[in-house]
Amino acid sequence: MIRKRFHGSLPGFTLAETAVALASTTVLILGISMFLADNHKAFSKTYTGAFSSVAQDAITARALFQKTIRQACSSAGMAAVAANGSWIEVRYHSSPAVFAPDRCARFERSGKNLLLSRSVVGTGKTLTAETVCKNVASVAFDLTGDSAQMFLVLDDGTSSQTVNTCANMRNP
Amino acid sequence: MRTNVRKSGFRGGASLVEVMLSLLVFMVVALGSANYRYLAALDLRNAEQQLAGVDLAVTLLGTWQGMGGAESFGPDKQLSSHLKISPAKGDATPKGYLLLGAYDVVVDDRTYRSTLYWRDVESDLRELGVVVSWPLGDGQRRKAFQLTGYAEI
Repeated sequence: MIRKRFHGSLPGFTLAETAVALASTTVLILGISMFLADNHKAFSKTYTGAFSSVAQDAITARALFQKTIRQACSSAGMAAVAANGSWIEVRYHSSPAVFAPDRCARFERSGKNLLLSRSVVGTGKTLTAETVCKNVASVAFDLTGDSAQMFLVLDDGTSSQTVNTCANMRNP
Repeated sequence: MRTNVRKSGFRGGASLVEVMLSLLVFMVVALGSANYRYLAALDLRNAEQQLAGVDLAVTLLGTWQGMGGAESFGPDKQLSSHLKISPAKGDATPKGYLLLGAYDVVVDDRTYRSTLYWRDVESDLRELGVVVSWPLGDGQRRKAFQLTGYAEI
């Protein structure tokens, strides 16, 4: 039977060398881990914000506001806004054949939602009522000449979006 | 007689070079991934800034158009109740245009510099222009968005 005894013959590290190596490795690993964790956290936050419902709602609100205002009439008395800017109302033609504006569109905040309701001018009968977006932190409307402005902030607790937009009432 | 070689405790493991190479590969992959994520987040932030800049340009130009391109238009008066806006030194006005004003607007804690200018292209038609710019990255470079519209006067 052949026995190979290496016991005591291998060169190794001293306790001091091992301790120093472990300490420096620990510091290095902790540093890199913190860097990677911060990096991951920042990326996740950005990714979540970009693909959150808030981002989608911001796009919808901007598009719907501009589309609605552009078809509105710019004549005097055809648009109104609340004194505190909480709602805006415009009138528009239901079709090119109609002589006078016969429809009314109203953007209004209701709790955390922004609503758009369409009704018949004169009777006030509501035709449609839809939720433009949710998670409304603040919204204000304004009228300046033939233009209407919307200043909207959406916040769902994890991400927020600011929408400042304007559209001109194109119809006479 | 059977040769009995005991390798227990002395079995060939990973050498220091192998361990170092493994760590190196791991570090390259980890740092590459981190760099990718960093650039993705940076691009997304730039896109958000651009969206806010475009929104601001549309708001300024649309409001000015709504006032018929009037020279009396002052965003720091008309929009001050909704935007943090103050007169400032803006970017250079394009040649051949008259400066209406330059303003600093703060949106989401970022300052956007806007310059408004105009010229009459016809006796009853006015060309309106807005340039909104904002700092990129470390602030040395600026990104600009230019928008042109018209108003009947």
